Parts: sequence; structure tokens; C-alpha cells
Amino acid sequence: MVIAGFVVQCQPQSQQDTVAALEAIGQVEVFGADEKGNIVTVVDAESSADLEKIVKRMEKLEQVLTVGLTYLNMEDEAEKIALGELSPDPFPRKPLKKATMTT
Amino acid sequence: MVQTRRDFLKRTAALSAASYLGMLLPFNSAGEALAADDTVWHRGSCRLCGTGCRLELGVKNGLPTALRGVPESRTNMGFLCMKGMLFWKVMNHTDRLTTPLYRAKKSDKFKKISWDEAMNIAADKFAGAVKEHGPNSVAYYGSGQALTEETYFFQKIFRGGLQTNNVEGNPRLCMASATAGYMTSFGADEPIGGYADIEKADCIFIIGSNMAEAHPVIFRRVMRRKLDNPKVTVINADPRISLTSRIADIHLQFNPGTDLALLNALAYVIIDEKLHNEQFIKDYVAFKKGKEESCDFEEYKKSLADYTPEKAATIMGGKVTADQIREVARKFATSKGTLSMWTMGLNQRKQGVWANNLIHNLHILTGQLLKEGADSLSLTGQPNACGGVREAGGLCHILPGHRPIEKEPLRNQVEEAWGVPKGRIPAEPGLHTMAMFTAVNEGKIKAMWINCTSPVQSLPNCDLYNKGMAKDDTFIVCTDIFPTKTTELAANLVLPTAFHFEKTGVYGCTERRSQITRKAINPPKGARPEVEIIRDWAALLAKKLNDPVITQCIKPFEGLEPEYALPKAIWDEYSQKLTKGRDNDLSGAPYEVLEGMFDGVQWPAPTAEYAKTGGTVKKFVRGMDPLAEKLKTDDKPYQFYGAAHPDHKLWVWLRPQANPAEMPDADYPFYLSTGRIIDHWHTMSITGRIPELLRANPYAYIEINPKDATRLGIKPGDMVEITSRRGTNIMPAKVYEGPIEGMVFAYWHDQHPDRMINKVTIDAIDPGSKQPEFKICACKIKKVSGPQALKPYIT
Amino acid sequence: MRTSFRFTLLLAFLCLVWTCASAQGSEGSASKTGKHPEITEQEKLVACSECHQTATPEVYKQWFDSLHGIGMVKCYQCHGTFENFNVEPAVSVCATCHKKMVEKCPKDQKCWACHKPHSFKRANK
Repeated sequence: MVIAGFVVQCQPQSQQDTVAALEAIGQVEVFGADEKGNIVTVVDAESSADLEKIVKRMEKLEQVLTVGLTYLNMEDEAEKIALGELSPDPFPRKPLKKATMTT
Repeated sequence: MVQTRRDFLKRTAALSAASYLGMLLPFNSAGEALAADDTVWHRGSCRLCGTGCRLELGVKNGLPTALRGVPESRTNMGFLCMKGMLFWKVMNHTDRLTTPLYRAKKSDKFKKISWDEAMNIAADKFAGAVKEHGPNSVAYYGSGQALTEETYFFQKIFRGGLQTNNVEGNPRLCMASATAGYMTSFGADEPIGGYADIEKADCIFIIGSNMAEAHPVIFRRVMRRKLDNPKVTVINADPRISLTSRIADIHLQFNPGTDLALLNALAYVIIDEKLHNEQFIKDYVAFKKGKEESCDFEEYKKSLADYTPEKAATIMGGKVTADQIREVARKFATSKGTLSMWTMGLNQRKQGVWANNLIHNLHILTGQLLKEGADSLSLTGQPNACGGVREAGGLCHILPGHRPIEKEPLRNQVEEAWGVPKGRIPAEPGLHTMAMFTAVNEGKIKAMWINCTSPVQSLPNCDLYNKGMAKDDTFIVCTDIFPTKTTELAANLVLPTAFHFEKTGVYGCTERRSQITRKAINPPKGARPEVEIIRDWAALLAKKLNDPVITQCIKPFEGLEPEYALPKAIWDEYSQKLTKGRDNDLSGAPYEVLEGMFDGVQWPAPTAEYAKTGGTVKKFVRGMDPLAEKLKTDDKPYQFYGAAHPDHKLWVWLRPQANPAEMPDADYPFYLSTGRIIDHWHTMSITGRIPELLRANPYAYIEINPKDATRLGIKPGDMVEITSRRGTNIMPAKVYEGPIEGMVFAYWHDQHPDRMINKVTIDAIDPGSKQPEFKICACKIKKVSGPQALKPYIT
Repeated sequence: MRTSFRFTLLLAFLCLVWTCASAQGSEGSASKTGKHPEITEQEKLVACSECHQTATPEVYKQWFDSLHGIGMVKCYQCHGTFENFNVEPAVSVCATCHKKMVEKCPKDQKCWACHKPHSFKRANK
């Protein structure tokens, strides 16, 4: 799971079309837009390769001027690549030693 | 609506993009921290010290999920300590008691019984004891953590119903000397000012208080005051250098029990250097010695001749110098506002009342009272020691509304309010705490109700009293939420109760402020709020004793649902009928008013309109305290209307230095003192069940000065035996420059039989306040082994 | 902008891979590898600060001298204990005491964007 936030810029007059075109991609969600042609967009991709593909598609849209990344979360993937497994416990445990009482 | 991690990340991603554009997104999110969900926030108070911090419990799907401070609150301004942050985590703990437990003999195993059976047994045992042995064979031992409604209702049934004044509570162990100090010095219980003085004070005098650990959020305010205004002087007077000392400009470290000499020496310097406020003394002050004999300023001055700074420094030992004493006296007297704060270091002493008088003396002599930033402020240890126990009749010698029991007209007022016959409430005070447990030892108490406290661990010299509590002579009911050392050793019947936020009621904190906590979640199935238990029990008592007066005691409460209507009716009766016209007038603060406030109301608050402003910030000041205007006897700006001083004056007391009950000697060469640790609350039955808090301080240790440790060959972590004339503990050593040479110190939360320090402490009491001298006794120490792995121990 | 996106992506990726990879390294002091040494249940009964006083002395000192250190706000209050440990606390934890500040703060920023972790001095001061 890779999730990224973008500001997509377009010509203000084509804003509605752009939003429709972005949403048509699937995996792309538009959260809002302003009168200057800025569109708040979130991409939910399978992998970074997938993300890159989607970004390319967004960039290729006719009305789009720029696609600017503001947020990226790819923790799952990075972990898998680095570790080959998931190990979120920051405190690995030694086998339990039995504590003794004083009496 | 459950927010998945994916949703959450998407929302965060969108917020991030939107923030570049200064765009508001259509979902109502106050950022990640306050991400919109269906959490409902319920306002209430913290229950883990006397500060009265206000907080909100976040509840989702009927379960507690989060907690946060209330920034608008005048007590904590939104800040919380770790106990306040985390206590909600025990609400669903698997150890919660959820069914009544009974055993006929204390050596038997408990068996689960129904509520009906349980209430019948409780009523049978108390009714039987009263019939056979008279009303004074039964007793109630309550808590500064019980809600005001609970304490008030219990004492009503015991006094008005069963006709005994054997009504006590653990505040006797922590606040009694402060109460007696306020009564004898100012003529009325509880402080004149409050926390608001912290931000105005230029000199803050802390004595006998490790507020950094015992009252962390008050300490935060003091810290803030000092760090924001480096010219503010903070003085910490304590035989032990504590975390509180970190912000102190001056730390006075002296031998335990010599602080009466210090306080007298400060008075000596103040008068010797003419730093006292002559006009204030002329207008408002009388001088007293002995029991209540009048004297004059000259005689008082003469009595201080024994306390020149040089002489006092010699008495105090340690590192205190005469010049330091002079410096402190000057700061105290000449600052724009001097605020003193203390707690158990002065109260838990054989000379506790005297120590309280002596600190009040300094404020009276210098006029460091009644003005901004100046006050003589005793910090309470428990959330409702003031509101519930001191104000609502939770001790053997007082009735609700600060009414001394021995005054017949006052008893009659209470009887009238309750609609019970005149003379129903006995005139004789009941047994104070230590006398009550002595009576248990002697088999004189046949049935006892212990509510929300664990005397098996918290009484001084506890082994002695535990022998009595373990015997089958006394039938003991415990109402609690968890098993404790007391339910384990002493109880015949254990009744599971609702915890904080699982019931509704009022707590009154240190600064005369009453604050409500409304029920936010259901208690575990099987646990009931105390007010319901008391009402049902009283109804059975009425039947079994065939006494219509007991029925009369619960008449106003019959049929009310126990979650809100019942406690509200109890609060209405108490506040409207029993505080009206008294100095703790809360008649302007019914539930409707309290619920409308971020924090609460400081009494006196005779009208709702006034109560809504927050009430009285300073007592006795005309223009600030409605009673000062109403009860004025002259045109002066301050009116000391407290009922205990018919002359309407503040009293300066001649009190000499006097030793603690037990001094170190050849056999027991060390002073032992005890205290509260920041991560734990009292006997640890709550905080010991929260992993964060437990691990932070899983067991007690004994603090030893490095010089003593070197001399005795004790290294950090070594197991050390601590023995007094009463008992022995074994715990690991912490070697550090905390306690003064010749003194050791232990925290008292640990439940383990080896480390329960109250086996070692002394049960000597202050003759006036009857409060025990937990803080000082003599002991010997020796190393028994090297470090050992210990296990935390929770009953 | 087009190239800058790919570059950012790559950079972020590398950072994460590096962090996780280094966490796999040999056991030893936390400061070197980013991974906590193995501890027993018994060792979990030692206050965090006790070990970290020597293991991460800079962090300890920053905390000890901070308002949190003086005011006795301890490690576990922000970071939790072993079962619920977070290297980076949730902002909601800060909001327990600092609700108003969190409300005032820009929504996409964490508290420590301005307040240096552990010392909590404002970065621009």
C-alpha cells in the first residue's frame, strides 16, 4: 500500500473537466479544488511502480500543468524490501527469565 | 465509523496537499490528533490527588478510549500528570470486582453470592451488632476519594439512622492537622486563597511537600511561574532533597522534626528586623498560648528568644546556616506576595497542628495573606478530602457544613434538615481513626464498613491493627473496585462498586472548589454505585431494626435511578439544606450550575449567579467574599467571620520546638520518612494495574544518603533490611544525595509484605488532630544481600 | 516539476529502505543501529530513563533540562510502554495536555516541526 497526496495544477477554467478526468483514473481521489485551479488529490496505489504509472497518467492529462507531491507513505513496501518480512516490534524479547522473590 | 489505517493515511495525504493551498477540506477534522470520529468527550475531574485537574474522558461505543485535559479549567489549565493521563485504562481491567463476595470466616475462601444475599448479610450484621452491642459497636471508615454524595449519605445513615458518630475516613491520616491548624489560626477550616495566587506570588515557600511528585500539576504552575519570572524566589524546606528542589533558589535541608524551630526562627528574624506588619497586627490579630490562653505581642516576641537564627541552625543540624534563615525570612516578609504550600511533611506529625500554626503565624505577622499572590495554602492529598470529608461530615467530630458535633443547636439544624427527631444524633464525637482501629483490636467494633480505602496497608504500624482486622470479632464490609490487601485480609463481604466516570458526583479539591463528574460509561456488569448500595442497605436496616427514622433518612431518595437522579437528590439535600448559611455555602451550586462549568465553584457561593463566576477566590475579603460583606462587624476590609474565633481575629500561636514521638538512638540510629511517588497512587490497586505506571516504579526502595551507605557498606541495589520497634521491611537500596545524612526514605505504595513500609512506621498521633506521625520514626538499617531480581506484587 | 516528483519519490524511498535496513544490523547499542537491544521481562521493570541516561545521554539531557524533565513528564507518557511503544508519538498524545496548541497548529505539521523533540525549545529561538 502506497498513499500519496498531490497538488495538481490546471487552468482554472478547465478545473471541472480536470477533476472528472483525474477521478476517471480510479485509485485517484479528489478532496477539493480552489478557484485558481489547484486540486487536492490523493492516490492509493498498490506499489511505488503502480504509483509512478498513475502519476504519469495524471501528468499526461491535457489540462494538467503540474503534479506536485506533498505527502508520501510507503511504509509497508519499504519494510518488505528491507526486511523481507514485517517486524514492527521495536523491543525484541529475550526468552522469559523467571523473576525471583526475596522471601 | 471505524477509521482504517488506509483512510487515515489518505486523509493525512489530503490534508497535507490542502495545507499547501491554505484550503479547508470539507471533512471536519482538527488534524490528525483530533481526527473526526464518533468519540464523545465527557468532562470530569481526575481522582488521583487533591489538585482537582479537569479532564475529558473520550468514549466510543460505550468504551473509554482516550483522555485529555480541559484547557479552560482554572485548576490545571489543561495539563495532566501520568496518573491523570492513564487511569482510565483500568476501567475494563480483568481484575475488576463484578460480583459480591462473602466468607463467614476470614480464614475461609470467598464465594460469589447474589446482590440480594449480600445486602441481607450486610444489613443483618449491622442491625445485629446495634441490637446486641449498641450503636457504637458499628463504624464507618471512608475515604477522601469517595464522592461527596457517598460520604454524606454514609454518615447520614450511620448518624441519623444507626445513631453513632463512629464515622471516619483516611483523611484523618492526611488532612486532620491542616484542618485543626486552619481552625485554630484563622477560625475556619480551609485556605483563604487558592491556586490563582501561584501566578501572582513573588516568593513561594514550600515546606514538607514534594509537590513535583505528589501534586505534579500544581508543581507545573509553580515551575512556570519561576521559569517565566526568574526573580521569583522559590524556597524548599525539607530534610530530603527532592525533585521539587530542582526549581528552588534555596533549599533548606535539616534534621527531620526540627522545622518548628525553623518556623519560629523565621518569625524571630521578621520581628527582630521589624519586617512585621504592625498595622495588620493591630487591626486583625490576637496572640494565644497553651490551649487558648490570651497573651500579647511582647510575650510572643519574648518566646521567640530561644529561636535566634544561630540557635535554630544548631537545633536543625544539617547544612542550614543562620544567614540562610535570615535571607529566607526577609524574602518571606518583603516580597510583594508570599505563598506557602505544604502537605504531609507538616501534617503527618505528632506536632502537626503546631507546625501548621507556625506557618500561619508567619503569614499573619507579615500580612502575607488576603492579597494577590499571598496565602497559606495547605495542599490536599486526595481528590475529595476537603469537599467530601471535611465539608460533608466525614470525620467523627464534625457534621455536614463544618458543624462541630458538640454544638447542640448545630446538631439540631442537621436533625431538622433530615426530618429526624431532635437528639437523634449523639452528642459525643465518635472514635477517631486510630482509636477506631484500636477498638477493632479490642473486639469492641462488631461491624465495620470500609469504603474505597485500604487501611491494612495505609495505617501506620499496620501489623498491629491488621491483627484486629483479621480476627472474626469484627464483621467487615469492603466496597471497592479491585481486590486490595484489605479485602484479602480483613473483609467478610466485598461489594463491587462503580469507578469514577461510571457514576455521578462531586469532588471538592484543595482550593475550596467543588467540581462535578457525570457518569460517562456503564460500570462492569455486577458493579453498583455506592449511593445505590447505601440506600438499599439502609432500607433493609430499617426493616430489621424496625426503625422508621432510618426509613426517614432515605425517604427523599426512594425510587430514584442511581446513575444521576439519586446523587443529584443527595447533593441537593446537602448543598441546599446543610451548606446554606454556613461558611462552605454551596447553595448556589446545584448540579445544573456545576455542569455548566469547565471547572467548578469555590465556596462560599450562596447564589447561582455568583457561583457561575467561579465563586470566591479569596475568603474574608470584602468585595471578594459575599459572606465578608454579609457578616461584617466593622468597616475594615477583612472580616474573619470563622465560627471558631468569636473575636473575629486571626490568632498567632506561641508554639515551641518539640521533638517527634520517636528520636533516633543507639539502637535505632536513623530517621525513617515516607512519601508518595509520582507514578503511583496510594496503595497501588489502580496504578499497579496500568503497565506504564507499574513499570515506572514497580516496587519500593529505600533511599540512603551516600555517606551513610558508604559507612554501612551498602551499594546501590543491595537488599537492605529496615527495622523499627514495630516491624521490618527488606527492599533494594537507592543511594543518592536525597535524604539528609542519618535519614532514610521509602515510598509507601508497595503491597508486597516485605516492602510495605507502614509495618515500620509509627502510630503516635498529634494530640489535637489525632493524625499519625507517618513522616518520622526511628529505625536501623543493614545490608542483607546483594541486588536481587524482584517482582512487582499486586494483590 | 515532473522530474522533481520522481526525484522526491526516489529520495523518500531510499531513506525508508536505509532506515529499515539499518534496523536489521547487528545487535548493540540503540544509538548505533536504531534497534533496541533485547531485554527480559525483568529488565522491562527498569525505568526507560535509567538506561537511556547512559545509552542516549544527549537525548536524556535534552529531556531532563526541558520543561518536561523538570515538570516530571516521563518517557512513557509520550512514547508508551513496551506493548504500545511509538518512537514518534501520535499528536493525539500531545493533545492530552496541549489541546489548544494542537488545534492552533497547521494540520499537516507535527508538533516537533517547531518544537525540538525532547528539549521542546522552539526551533526558531
